[in-house]
Amino acid sequence: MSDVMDDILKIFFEECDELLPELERGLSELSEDDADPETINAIFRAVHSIKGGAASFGLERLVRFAHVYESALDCLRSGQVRPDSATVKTFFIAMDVLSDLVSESKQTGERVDNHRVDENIHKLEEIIGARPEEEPVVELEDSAALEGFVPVTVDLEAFDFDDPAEEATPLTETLRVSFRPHGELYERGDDARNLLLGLKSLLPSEQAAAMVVSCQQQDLPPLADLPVDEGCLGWEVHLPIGAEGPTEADVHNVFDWVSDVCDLTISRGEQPVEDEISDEAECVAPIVLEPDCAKPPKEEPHPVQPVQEEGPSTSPSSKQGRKQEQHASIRVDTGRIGMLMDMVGEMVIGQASLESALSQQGVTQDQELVKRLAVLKTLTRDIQEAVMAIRAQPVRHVFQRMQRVVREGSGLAGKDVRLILEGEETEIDRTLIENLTDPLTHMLRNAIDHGIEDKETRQAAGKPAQGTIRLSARHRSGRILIEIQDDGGGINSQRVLQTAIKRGIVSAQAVLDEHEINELIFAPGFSTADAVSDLSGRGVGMDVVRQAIQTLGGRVMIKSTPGQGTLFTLSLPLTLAVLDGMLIECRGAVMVVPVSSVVELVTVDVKEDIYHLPDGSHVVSIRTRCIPLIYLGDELTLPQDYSDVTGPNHMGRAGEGDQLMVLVVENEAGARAALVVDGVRDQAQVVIKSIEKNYRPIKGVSAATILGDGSVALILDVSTLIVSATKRIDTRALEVLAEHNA
Amino acid sequence: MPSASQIRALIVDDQASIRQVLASHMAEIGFKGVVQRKDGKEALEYLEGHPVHLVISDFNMPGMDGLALLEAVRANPKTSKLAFIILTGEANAGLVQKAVSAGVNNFLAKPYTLAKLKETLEKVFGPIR
Repeated sequence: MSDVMDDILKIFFEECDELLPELERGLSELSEDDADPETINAIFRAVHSIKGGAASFGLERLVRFAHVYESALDCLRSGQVRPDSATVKTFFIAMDVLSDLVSESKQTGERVDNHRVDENIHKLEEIIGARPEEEPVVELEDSAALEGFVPVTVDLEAFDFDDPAEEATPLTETLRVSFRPHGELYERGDDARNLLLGLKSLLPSEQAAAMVVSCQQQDLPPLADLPVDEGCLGWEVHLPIGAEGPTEADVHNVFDWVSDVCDLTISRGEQPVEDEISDEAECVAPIVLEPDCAKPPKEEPHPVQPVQEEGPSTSPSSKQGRKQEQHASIRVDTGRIGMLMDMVGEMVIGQASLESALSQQGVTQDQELVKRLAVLKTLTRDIQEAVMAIRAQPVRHVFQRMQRVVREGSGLAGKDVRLILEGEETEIDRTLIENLTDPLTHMLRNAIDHGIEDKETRQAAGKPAQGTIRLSARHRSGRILIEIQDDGGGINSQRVLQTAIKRGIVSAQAVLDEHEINELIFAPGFSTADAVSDLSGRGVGMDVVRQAIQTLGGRVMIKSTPGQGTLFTLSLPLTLAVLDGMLIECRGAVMVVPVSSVVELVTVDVKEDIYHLPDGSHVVSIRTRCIPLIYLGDELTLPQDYSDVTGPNHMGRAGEGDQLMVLVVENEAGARAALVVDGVRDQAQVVIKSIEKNYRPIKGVSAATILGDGSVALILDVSTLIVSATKRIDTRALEVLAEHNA
Repeated sequence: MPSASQIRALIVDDQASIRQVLASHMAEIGFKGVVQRKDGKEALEYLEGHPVHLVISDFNMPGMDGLALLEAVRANPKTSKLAFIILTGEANAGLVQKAVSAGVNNFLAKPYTLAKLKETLEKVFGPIR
């Protein structure tokens, strides 16, 4: 296939990426009582377009399937088939097959099983067979429809057009620039093409297309006689003169530096008549100048053949139309955006370092320098947000894929489930999007398998037979919340607890509240499915989901109401590149705690509020709630002698001072811990630098960042710290203490 | 004998890939500066200021379809004489009949070959060089 066709094939696949969601949308809108003809036609057109395009590229398997699908949809369009739920379901499944066949043709997907194609073709044929009159769609070629049709001839001579170019551009007067470079021009490393582009830049952009360039090849000898060090080509350029110019002087300016190494004549003339150009096209080659066009013609041994996208007869306005289309979106290598993001990160650091240097030199707030820096700071933040916006994509792409997951899942489980999508336009970083598919798929399968009850149970409970899962996305305080809510039976806590005990996840004596029991489904190796079904319960469970979400810097929360359903909430950061952090001090080292996990900062009394447990650990009572106390310095084994802080908040064992400053933090499960810190410095946006990539993983530390003064600070992994602290402390002891306190 | 380069042509189809394939085939035949529009409405807007000899239009397009475009073209004295070829994959006797009564010049069935395209054009314009 030629390059041109390859490019068009890419366009076709892009169209498929638009048509398939259109098809899906149409099918979802379809219901028996509401068969809007426009919707049906849109569905038909989507499949028809895919078939038509596929046929142009000889994608046989795709054409074959799309053809039967189209025929079946035609029955729907003509009203011979009703869009009852069985038919719509068949259409949905056929859409999935079609989509897979497109991926197959695109060579991004696996080859679709022949059996699956045939089976679905058969199902579609059953729909076609169901129409009362046997009248399948036939190709125009074989049809009798054209019998007796005689093409109507047209005489070109009969057309008498006014000159269209004049109509389109009332620029009759032109500057005729005749330009013939000498060999020296090329020797000096100048390029004729740049000069022509220079002429083009004299025109306002909307008129640039009206510049006509023709290449003068009359002096070009046969290849054998070609003198390699001489210039043999010349160009004649017609520049339309508008009200603003260009003038002859402008043209001279363009050629100023090469005037000694080329022949240049400038004269006033009329716009060349279109047809003349067309007729001369064989000997005079018009060149459409595009910035990316090939190397200078001098090196071409043959007469330059025009690479012509649009001939001279094309008016500027059509060119403009195409340009506008191109402006709508451009493709950018994601690597470049990643690089830009990294650089913005460096800029944030650089600006912070400037700020810190200023404050070190005692520059105070009211000084001009500080004010200017504030402007720069705002700009930096804006740039960062703009770059993030480039990377952001609506969650729609992932969400719509979930329709299929639910369709297939409910089919396998034999349940009738519909998925409602909300907030599909919510934008989120593309890295997050890519990594959301698997966890969401798994959670939806779980919801269908374990959440939604079977039809009989539902009806007995007075619920509609059809189960509903709501998948929604929205922004909230700098994070994105994704909710998966089913209207099933909720989590059966007793069964979950029994299973957890059976699997040895918790001890039989453990006393857990409902919330804690629900949390158990995230434990590794937990699965309550009575039988390992096809759908979920494959051993990998919610622990993998939680793991995946945590890797993305997110948390999973669960809320279940027996009999009414379960709500899973995923809370994700907007980006993986920066975070809002609280800068804390601990034994002289500065560390960062993600602001999202900070609950409060309190001062506690060492004698009153802190309890020593027999195992050597400590808990702190804050407003009658006992939470594990973590001596951050000890936990992270920071060297004591590193400390140069000796104030009242100096890190020490309980009992050394009267007051301790503790930062209460919470993980995604709602578990809390109190971090003993020496002080809180600031709240700042920090750039996340992977520590695993640059060093090795450190327990209790999720990443590192570079502060304004150029020093490296560790970003604490609050979740891990809390988990390890909670593990050490018997939860029952906390309860006893809480009771005692109350 | 008319030269393909003399024929000003406009392609109307909602699918960019179909337009581009057709445009590249027409360029092979010798057409120059073939203009593309994505639906009937845009095509009419273009025709308003730019007379052409030939319109090749898809049948089923969102918004204004090929038949409506044909009718609008024939109704306007400025464009009534141009050659109108309908590009279609469906053979619906009803639609064909409507197009014929609206004054279509010829049909081009999808998928088509380069030879078939040339033949279809020559049936309208006579032999093209």
